[in-house]
Amino acid sequence: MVPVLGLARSGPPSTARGAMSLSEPSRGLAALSSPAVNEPAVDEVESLVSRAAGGDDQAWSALVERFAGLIWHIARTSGLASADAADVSQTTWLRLAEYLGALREPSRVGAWLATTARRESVRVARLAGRRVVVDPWSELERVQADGPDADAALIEAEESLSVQQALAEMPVRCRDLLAGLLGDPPCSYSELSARLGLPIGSIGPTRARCLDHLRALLSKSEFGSDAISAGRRWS
Amino acid sequence: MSEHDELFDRLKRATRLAEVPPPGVLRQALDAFAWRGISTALAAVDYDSAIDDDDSARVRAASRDRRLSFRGNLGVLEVSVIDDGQRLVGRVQPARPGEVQLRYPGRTDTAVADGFGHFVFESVEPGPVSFCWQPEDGASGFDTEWVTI
Repeated sequence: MVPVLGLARSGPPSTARGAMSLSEPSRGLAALSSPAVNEPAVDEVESLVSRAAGGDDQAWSALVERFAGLIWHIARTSGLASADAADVSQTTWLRLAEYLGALREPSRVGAWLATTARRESVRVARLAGRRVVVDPWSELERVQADGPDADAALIEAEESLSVQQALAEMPVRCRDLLAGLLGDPPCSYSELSARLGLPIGSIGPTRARCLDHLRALLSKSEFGSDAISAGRRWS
Repeated sequence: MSEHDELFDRLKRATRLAEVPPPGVLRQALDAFAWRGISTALAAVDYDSAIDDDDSARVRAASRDRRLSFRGNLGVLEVSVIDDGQRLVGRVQPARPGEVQLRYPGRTDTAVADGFGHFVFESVEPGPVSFCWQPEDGASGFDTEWVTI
């Protein structure tokens, strides 16, 4: 599993992985054992945007590594077949390349990408007859039209989106840790300890700090408040 | 169940159904960087029939033609995508002769705009495109945003 987080492990172009490690210089144990993990990751994202705007292609690769899954998710859950979703994704990244230096809030690039992808998905979904490979309306759309499950399905889709957006904005080390824990099967603490170079005893506390960080990001995000109440309802 | 475990469960639910983008999609995203900042004056989409027309307007139009307009400080570029997306006809304003480029992520087509600013592209391919307008008299032209056609 870990589709969103596990991008780097699932065989993307090697440059994405290489660039990620280069552009996120390993802060090693210090980052994980100190409160640095709790620093707002938006700063990290903001710096990637400004470096990419200055021509740093490794920063661009790191942005792709973080947000490509989110954009793909938005396009696919808009009911687009993969060829159309691929066009939406490509247009969204071309738009970002175009506006890189002109974003009003570089720290909110995740929200900017999500909005752009959503709008572009609507365009493409409405182009009747355009290269229809499969039924363009997803299961979700049918459920919505039909009845009592509609609200739950919609809430679930929004919840999934806001959580994925928050995850994409997390510091790299937190994302690596959570990816391991969300794996199918999940990594054991000893595997994680070896992979991340962390003492076993600090994995639990680091997980807790990362989850606190995630909660903070969620409560700041656009759909945060809805998503949190939805989450409570299901718990 | 602790607060952290609840949040972790939300995380599991949220990532459960997500798909990994195919490698080609990631490659295209990486390649988009080549288009960084080449635009100086950018004309943004200010009308798109696919979004701005309501259902009844689309029915009245009785056509699947797509109409798009890009507006910037230096002018307006309007296009219609016709013949099932195969042809693209358009015009620039202020009207004058010049050259229009139809840019795909991997290649560029060129058409001549006549004295009325009219131009045509044949054998148009679906996908992301943008336009670049350069008047013949050497006055400043402009680029448009990328849009999916």
